[in-house]
Amino acid sequence: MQLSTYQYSSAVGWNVPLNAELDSENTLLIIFGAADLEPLKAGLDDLRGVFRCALWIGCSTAGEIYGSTLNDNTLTVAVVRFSKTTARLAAYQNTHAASSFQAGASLANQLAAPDLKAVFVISDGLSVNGSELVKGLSSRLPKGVIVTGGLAGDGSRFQQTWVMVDKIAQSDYITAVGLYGEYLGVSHGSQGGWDVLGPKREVTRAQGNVLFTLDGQPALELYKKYLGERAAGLPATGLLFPLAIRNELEEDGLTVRTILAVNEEDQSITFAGDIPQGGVVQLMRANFDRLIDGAADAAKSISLSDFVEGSLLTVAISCVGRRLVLSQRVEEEIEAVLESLPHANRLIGYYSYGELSPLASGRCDLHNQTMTLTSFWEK
Amino acid sequence: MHRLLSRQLRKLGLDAEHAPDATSWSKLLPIIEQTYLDADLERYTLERSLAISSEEMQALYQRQKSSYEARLHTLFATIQDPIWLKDPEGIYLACNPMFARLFGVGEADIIGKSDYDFFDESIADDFHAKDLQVIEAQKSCIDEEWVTFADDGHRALLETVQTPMWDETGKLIGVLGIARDITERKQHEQQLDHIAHHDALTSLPNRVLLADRLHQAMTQAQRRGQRLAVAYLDLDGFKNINDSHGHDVGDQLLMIVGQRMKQALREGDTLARIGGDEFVAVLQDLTDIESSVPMLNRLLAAASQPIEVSNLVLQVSASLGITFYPQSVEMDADQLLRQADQAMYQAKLAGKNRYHLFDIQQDSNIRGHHESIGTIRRGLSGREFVLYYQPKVNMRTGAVIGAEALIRWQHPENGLLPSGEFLSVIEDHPLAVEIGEWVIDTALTQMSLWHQAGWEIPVSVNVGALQLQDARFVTNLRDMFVAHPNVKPSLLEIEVQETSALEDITRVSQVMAACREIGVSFALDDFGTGYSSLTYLKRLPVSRLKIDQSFVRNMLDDPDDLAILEGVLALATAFNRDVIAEGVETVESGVMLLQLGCDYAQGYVIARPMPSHEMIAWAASWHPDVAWADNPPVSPDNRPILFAEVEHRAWVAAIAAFLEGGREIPPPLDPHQCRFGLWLDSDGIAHHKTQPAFQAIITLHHQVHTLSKQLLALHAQGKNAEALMQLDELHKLRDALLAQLKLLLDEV
Repeated sequence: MQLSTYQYSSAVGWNVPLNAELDSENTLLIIFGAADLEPLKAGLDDLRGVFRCALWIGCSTAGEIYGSTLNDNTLTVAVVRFSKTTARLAAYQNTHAASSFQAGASLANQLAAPDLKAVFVISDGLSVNGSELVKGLSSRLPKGVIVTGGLAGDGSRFQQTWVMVDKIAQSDYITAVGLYGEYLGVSHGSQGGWDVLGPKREVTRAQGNVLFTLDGQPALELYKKYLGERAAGLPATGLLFPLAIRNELEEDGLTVRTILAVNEEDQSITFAGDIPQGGVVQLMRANFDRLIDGAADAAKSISLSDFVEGSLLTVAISCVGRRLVLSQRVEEEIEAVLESLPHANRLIGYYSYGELSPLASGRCDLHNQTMTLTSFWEK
Repeated sequence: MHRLLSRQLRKLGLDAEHAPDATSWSKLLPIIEQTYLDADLERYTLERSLAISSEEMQALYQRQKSSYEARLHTLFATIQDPIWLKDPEGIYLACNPMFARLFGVGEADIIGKSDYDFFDESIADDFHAKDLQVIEAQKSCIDEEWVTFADDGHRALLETVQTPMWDETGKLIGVLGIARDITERKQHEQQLDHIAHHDALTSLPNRVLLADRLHQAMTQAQRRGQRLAVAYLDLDGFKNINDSHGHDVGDQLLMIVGQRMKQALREGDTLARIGGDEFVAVLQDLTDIESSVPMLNRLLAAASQPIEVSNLVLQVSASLGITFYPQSVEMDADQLLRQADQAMYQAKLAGKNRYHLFDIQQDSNIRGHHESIGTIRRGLSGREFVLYYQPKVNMRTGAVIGAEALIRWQHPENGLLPSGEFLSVIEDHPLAVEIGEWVIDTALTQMSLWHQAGWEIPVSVNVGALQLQDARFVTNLRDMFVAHPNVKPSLLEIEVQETSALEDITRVSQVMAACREIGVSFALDDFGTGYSSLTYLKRLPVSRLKIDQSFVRNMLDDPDDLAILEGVLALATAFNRDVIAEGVETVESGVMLLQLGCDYAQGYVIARPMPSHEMIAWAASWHPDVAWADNPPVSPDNRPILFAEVEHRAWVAAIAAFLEGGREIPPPLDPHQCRFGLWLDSDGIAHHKTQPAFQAIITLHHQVHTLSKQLLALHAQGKNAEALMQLDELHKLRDALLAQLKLLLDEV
């Protein structure tokens, strides 16, 4: 496997020259970029010119990670030329969150093959119910296939995201790349690091990923009460208090849900995944050190026991909520990840509206507010 | 340096060692300001969220606490069990309304007070002591007590659980009490217990309780050195009542009989119903075996009293088997019951409506003989059994009228054994049937041989109940006659013991009728000893009665036996049956029998049982005793003379017995007071005073009495030996008197 990572900004251009030798039909190009691509158009054209044969996958972000740095308004690119592994792309146009399950099932069907080893999913960040997407994927994929990925971001604006389909950035799409063959090494880690806050609350009314009331009180009212003057920053400031949902299996712990949108009319809050009516939830709050420790733990939980030498790519997908909380200190979590990985590792990634990763039981789920890492290498 | 500050410097290309230039400084300041703003915002958010969540938690706690307290209060107030809490000094800290009812006051009137405010000092002391005991024990204590509720006066059995209570620091709060009304539960338990241990119909103890009581009684008897009796009781005739009047009537009868028998017992005794019409009584505290007799008689009487059920007057009786405890060997309750059951069976065999004591000696003999069933079987196959024949004669004519075949065992080690030594062992064993068949077959073979020798004699064989009721009896008998064609069936007589268990009299009667069709006749053996003699006589087609030897043997000395004998003879005449007396051992007995009109006899005075080969010669040479000649039957009018004779013998025998120490008081010495004297003064003088012998008799009677007085005087003077020496003189006077009596009879 050959690997190069690149960063492009309108001010600087490419940080290193693009290496055309990496282009092939067995090359995967992963690109994360600003939601507004207009200032970056030239860079994008460069890529289209050099990596014509490669399979492109990528999305807009709430911040691009390149090495130990977090940047905005850039393109961050990793080009991987596999030697013994094959890759295949799939895409599904998903204009409504309600069809997210079919989208997942369709993608799985498109990619299914006996030697399918891993699926890396990149989805539109707003027009999707991540929980249903994951359920759709899980319903068709064999148990051993590792599914990771993330939802696209749009800064802290929550207005429009894009996904790379046919080398063009488009909204309302869900894409996935399937990686095949026994020589592919893949491992993942995902951690939050949030603390629960206040009493447990019962979800008294919810529909899909829209929450109306907790303990009979409008959910939005509760959030506003907690946020105080920061309520003006909703929905972004809602990320300060994600919701913890207790999972059925105790070993799966808590699943964290983050806010995507609020609706003043019906006092509802839309989350990135389902909020089960009747379930027990609890507000969460950030603690800088624990978030950073969580990121380090995610890196440490990646199993690299059969990685010996050569190229190693780790894709970090961290939640926009973490960035909002950590603010200027956000790069500390990226540093913490890097410190826990081998020197050979190359890290790219982005801040997202949702992360996909297996739970401890192996069941894939949508996460929020986590640092989710996926490492690829060839044996 | 703070990690963030060093990164902020680094991003601007600055370091800690060098001051920034103006441009960099203007870039750095907003960044640092932002850091402070961030921190402020963060602190604001954190403080606010913590304050709000703390409020929420407090509200939640209050809600839950008041809801918990409300629930607890409701529970406390509505629970139907009295609950209270006292401090270690006995002061009530709390109680619920149900507890207040116990005291007949409100809850508020109790709290702050102690038991000393409500009860006598001694009772309150008890309560307080109990509390201290619970505290001391450091664990729950359970009690049961009857209490009276002061509010409405009702009484209840309370199960009280008292538990010491500590607060979270381990300090003793006091004693928590919870009481539960278990009155109904106890009653149910008692009902269940009663059902489990009593017979549903009669409410008497059942087998389970009997076992329990019997064990207790046995332990107690051992401890106190007393005896107990186990009486196994089976009703006679109950099945008939059930069959003819239905189970309802039968059930009512059982209830009434059960109650009556229970009342016949003493307080401490147990009467249990252990099935159908079977009861068991355990009689305790007996000083000896005899002391049980009155109770056994009361039981029999209670069982046999007429009972009115549904306008019917019914009557049953009971057969009782008794055994006692302790015995010389170790006994358990089951063994006792088996013994009593076995004895009950004997009582049934002996004619019912009676009790039979279990014979421990006989039982152990039988046990000892148990393995000898095998020996008897080997004896049979080894041809060790033989038949002896005892002649039956007509004492008046001197004719030999037949012979009774009697089985003997020519035992290789023990010599010739009479039947009594082995037949009882196999009485209820199928081997009895085999041996019975051997007897008949052998007798027929012998008759066949005699026939060939030109001699014919009727032969009787004894057949037991088991054999007679065997389904193949008639067929087998018929087959045997086929095998012995020259033996006339009319020469065979079958003797059936009256005391045999002829349970199914209808069936026995049918068997007898079938045999009579072949030509075989029947005799009822041991007649007069059983309870059902009259029933048998009426129902069974027998042609001959054999008067039991016990009556014959005593008839000369015991006027009662003579009366029975006379009665049996009268019955035989009335029912048109032949009569033969067995056990005739003296010439005098023969004379008396002849005078009573009984000519046929069998007994040692005529001949002992003999081997078959001696029979012909004996028959040819036998002559009746000369004393038997010329003894015509005495007419009923003159029978009192015969009784007078026996009375006199009996009186003299009583004098002799007194002198010999066999009697504690002598018979009446006044010649007008003895029964012979009474006869002389009434019937005698009325019918015979003109006869010459009569005067002689009066004289002799006086002499007998005079001599007897002298002998008693000698006895009184301590000269008993002298008196005994003169007994011969007395007997001579007696015989002289009896000779005159004979003359008196001859003269009439």
